[in-house]
Amino acid sequence: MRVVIAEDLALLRDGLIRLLRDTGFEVVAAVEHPDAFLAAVEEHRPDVCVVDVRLPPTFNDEGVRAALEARRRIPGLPILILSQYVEQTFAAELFADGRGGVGYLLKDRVADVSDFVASVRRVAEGGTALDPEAVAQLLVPAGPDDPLAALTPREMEVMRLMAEGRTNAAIAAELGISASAIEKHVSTIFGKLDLPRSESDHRRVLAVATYLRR
Amino acid sequence: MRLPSAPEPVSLNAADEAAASSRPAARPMMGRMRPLVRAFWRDLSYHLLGLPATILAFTVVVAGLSVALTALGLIVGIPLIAVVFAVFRWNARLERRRTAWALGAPVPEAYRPRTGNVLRRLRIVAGDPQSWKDLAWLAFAGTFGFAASVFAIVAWGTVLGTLVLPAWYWALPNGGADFGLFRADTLGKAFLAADLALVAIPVVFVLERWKTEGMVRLGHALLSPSREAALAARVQELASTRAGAVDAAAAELQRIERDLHDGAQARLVALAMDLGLAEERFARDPDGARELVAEAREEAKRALAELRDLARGIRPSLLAERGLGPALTALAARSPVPASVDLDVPDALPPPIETAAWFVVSEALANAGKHSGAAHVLVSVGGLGSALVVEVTDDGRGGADAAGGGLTGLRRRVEALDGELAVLSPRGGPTTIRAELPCAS
Repeated sequence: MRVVIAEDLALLRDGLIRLLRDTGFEVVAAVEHPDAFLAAVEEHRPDVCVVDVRLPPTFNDEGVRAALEARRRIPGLPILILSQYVEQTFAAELFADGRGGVGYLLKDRVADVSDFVASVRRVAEGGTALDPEAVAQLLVPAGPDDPLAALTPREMEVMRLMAEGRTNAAIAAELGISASAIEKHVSTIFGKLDLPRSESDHRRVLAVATYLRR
Repeated sequence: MRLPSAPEPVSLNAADEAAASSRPAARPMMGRMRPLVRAFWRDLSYHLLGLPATILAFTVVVAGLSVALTALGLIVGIPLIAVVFAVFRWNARLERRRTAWALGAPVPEAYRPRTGNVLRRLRIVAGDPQSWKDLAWLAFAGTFGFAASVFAIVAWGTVLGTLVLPAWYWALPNGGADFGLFRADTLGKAFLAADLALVAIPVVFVLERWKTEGMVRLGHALLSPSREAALAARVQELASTRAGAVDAAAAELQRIERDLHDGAQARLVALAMDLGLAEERFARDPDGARELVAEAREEAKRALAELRDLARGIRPSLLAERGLGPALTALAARSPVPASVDLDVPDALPPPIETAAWFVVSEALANAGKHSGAAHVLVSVGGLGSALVVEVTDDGRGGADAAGGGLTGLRRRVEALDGELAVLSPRGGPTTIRAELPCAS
């Protein structure tokens, strides 16, 4: 899998290059400036991009803006955004186009190498990866009338993992229950939240992510 | 201007002291006379200066008012009126200095701030009561003030002339001076006149004292802002320094956040990444994993060092524990450019003053290290009146940008404490950064 990295701090850029190479990715470009990122993306057409939120020149949200611009130029280009803290607005902007292939993770997650790599792969395959921290913030029911309040604790757990972008199989493995049990939970959740049903894992996850960001 | 006054007794040696103490009567006499002599010179100089000053004021008022009245209602009149106002202010400023000098205390100045286009500014100036008080004083000075100055000079001239009349009465065209009651046309009568002049000295002195005192007080009342205007000016000043302090605090927070983000936080992420990779590798590549763990340990050390530096930047710990002197000595010892210190730190400084002084030195040393190319820096700190003066001078190439980020931050920090920061840095050097921090509340 071919990756383009945009990270301004050399320390983290080198770390990411090493980590991704070590786990079987091919890093085709590692840049520090948003403009260089856009050029690299158009040149290499990578399978996935890993982008820091803060990039020069102002170190505010250049990474998010570069990602949105890259996806405007190459629709559906898979991009995983790394951030030092969770900012809902950024996540919302990234998921706004309703296409998959988007991730938003805290930088801390790179410590769990296998989880992180799984997230990168999922995004590359058109899935989503939303940081558990962001999910936790989104899964707070707005009030007693919020459909979220109607979910049982178990359904909430499934919902949380779905919002993070996991597939049914991954959720089943995580919770130690059967895939068919998960499918039943998912079906109930979709019923309670009144979401369109879909056979594909990714589409389902996307529906959840979009629902949470309304 | 320096006033000739009775010289202070200066003891050169013990013999002089002994001689001085052998004239016990002379000293109290001189001691009583000195302020009187000083007052005499002060009053006289005020009026001597007053001659050109009041003539100027008269000219300015008459010319200014006639120009302004003619210009009223004409389009071309607007710039003319602006010029007249400017001249009025300039003259009032001169008068403020003359009055301050006679008063021995500053005469504060406060006008309403002028903003906007020419018309708006003119309206602000015209609506400022201080403008009209200025004009009142100039008109007074140009008329009565002039007469008063002439009178003072003539009076003292007459006294002096009469005192020495015995030496020149004979040279008068009609053989002597006519004093109404008698004619001083013989040496005896001339001496009598001189005696009378001697008696007149205290009378003229007291009259002059009253008159001058009255004028100076009137000048002070008219030229200095009303209590309300002074308070308004002070509020404005405080608002702007407070805004500066808030900005400085915000900038400081942003700097800390950035330092954390790019420094310790990034190092910890890299460290976590190294440890994660090492964990993955242990089974298949134990040596590679061990290398990663060693690297992670180095990152941890660097992150700790960066956090420590950052904490020091927020609140230097030595400052809290040992006070300003030792903290500055330690700072100088760490300076990238060799620095020597000349410290005379007053006791019991308020903590905000200490912190500000520390930051001034810290920033100045960092700047000297980064930009100046200096070989040596001198840090001197001392009390000046009720203020603490901090000065950092390097022997580098100068040309420091006083509007640069670091120095602007410092200026705001210093101004928030009602202090002043001066940056003297001609091209070619040397650079001096000087902060004056008032300590009395």
